[in-house]
Amino acid sequence: MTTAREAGFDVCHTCLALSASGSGHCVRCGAHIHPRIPDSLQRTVALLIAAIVLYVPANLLPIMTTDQFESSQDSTIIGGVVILWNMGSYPVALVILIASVLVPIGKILTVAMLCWTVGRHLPVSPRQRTTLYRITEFIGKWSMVDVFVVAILVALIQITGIIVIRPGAAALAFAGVVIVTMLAAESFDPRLLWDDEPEKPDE
Amino acid sequence: MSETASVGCPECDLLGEVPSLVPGQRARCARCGYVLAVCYDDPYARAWSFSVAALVVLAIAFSFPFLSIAAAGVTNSMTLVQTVLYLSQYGADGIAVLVSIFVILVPVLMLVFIIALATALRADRFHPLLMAPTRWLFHLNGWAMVEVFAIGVIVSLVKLAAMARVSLGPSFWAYLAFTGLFLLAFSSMDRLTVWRDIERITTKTRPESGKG
Repeated sequence: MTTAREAGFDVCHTCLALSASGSGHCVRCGAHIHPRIPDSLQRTVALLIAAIVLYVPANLLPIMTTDQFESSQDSTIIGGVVILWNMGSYPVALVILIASVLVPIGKILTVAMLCWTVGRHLPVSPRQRTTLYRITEFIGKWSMVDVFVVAILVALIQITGIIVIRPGAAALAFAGVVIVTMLAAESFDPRLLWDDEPEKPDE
Repeated sequence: MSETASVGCPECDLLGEVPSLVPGQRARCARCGYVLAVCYDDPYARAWSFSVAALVVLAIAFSFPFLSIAAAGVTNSMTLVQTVLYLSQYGADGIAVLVSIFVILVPVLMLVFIIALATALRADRFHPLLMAPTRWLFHLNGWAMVEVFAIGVIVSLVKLAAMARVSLGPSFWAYLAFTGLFLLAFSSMDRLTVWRDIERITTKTRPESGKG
């Protein structure tokens, strides 16, 4: 098993072609290429910290406000889950709980764990870590569901004088969390997971 | 794909050879299992058809109400454009921009690129101006949130069903069809197939290059 780096090549992420190492651009498609993403771990950790910072207002501020007759009521992400649960809409409450709470936290913890194992050269199975990385990449955009729900409810519930829904500041903060964690997953170079792999004979 | 291609795995850096594939087959990295190539029968006709169909149903989704609600004797309906307009009306311009980008702009750009690229490659032609959009196409994919928005519509529907009478408009069904067609259109464009065809066409038209 030979890696591109051992053979003196850089792999293109856009078209998979092999170019002479250090050439900077792919011979086939012209995309920027690097042996490894430069400063991958530092960039990823910086983006994770940004995500944690944004996660605070995303949960403390209201994601939307409902004006019903004379009264108005703010609701947070967690508050929305609780209301749905009390209404008996368990499946939707679970979808929002998973997409808006468990997935962002799980993503931040998973990517942080991957950075830590790479930085410390811990002997954890590269295959299992790659699976974790792929799950993180795949579920990234699904957290945006709650932001879209706010957009849809705001457009639909506009019966002036009776009930009106307005977007809250947490929606943007939460969208920020989702985007920043997606960028963090993108800036993490999964090839780092395999770089410590000892040479194994072909099986 | 006609002959063996030397590739590197973008996720684990292992060198590999992708053999010629028959439709329905896919090639995976020997070490990490990453899907390197997928082979379809006449991929460009397939991608072109799904993309054009996707744009047609998206036009329908734009033209009719998505959902409508009846409460206290008043009805109100919502269209795709209104989701963006109301957000910016309440000062949530940031969210309005993000929704437009992820749900409308990125998917439509991708479909336009796919149509242009598939038309050219099917005719065995390529224009250098297509080079950059082809690169973008494969990077934009992670930011197209068509299917996420579709789930968002369903979640909103269930959320409201308890307190008001919600009915589905024609656009709801058109958007669900758009979601499916969009995913099929992009998945038809296998990047190794696309880039190898571009390479073959561009080296063929340059007479001094005897490669191939």
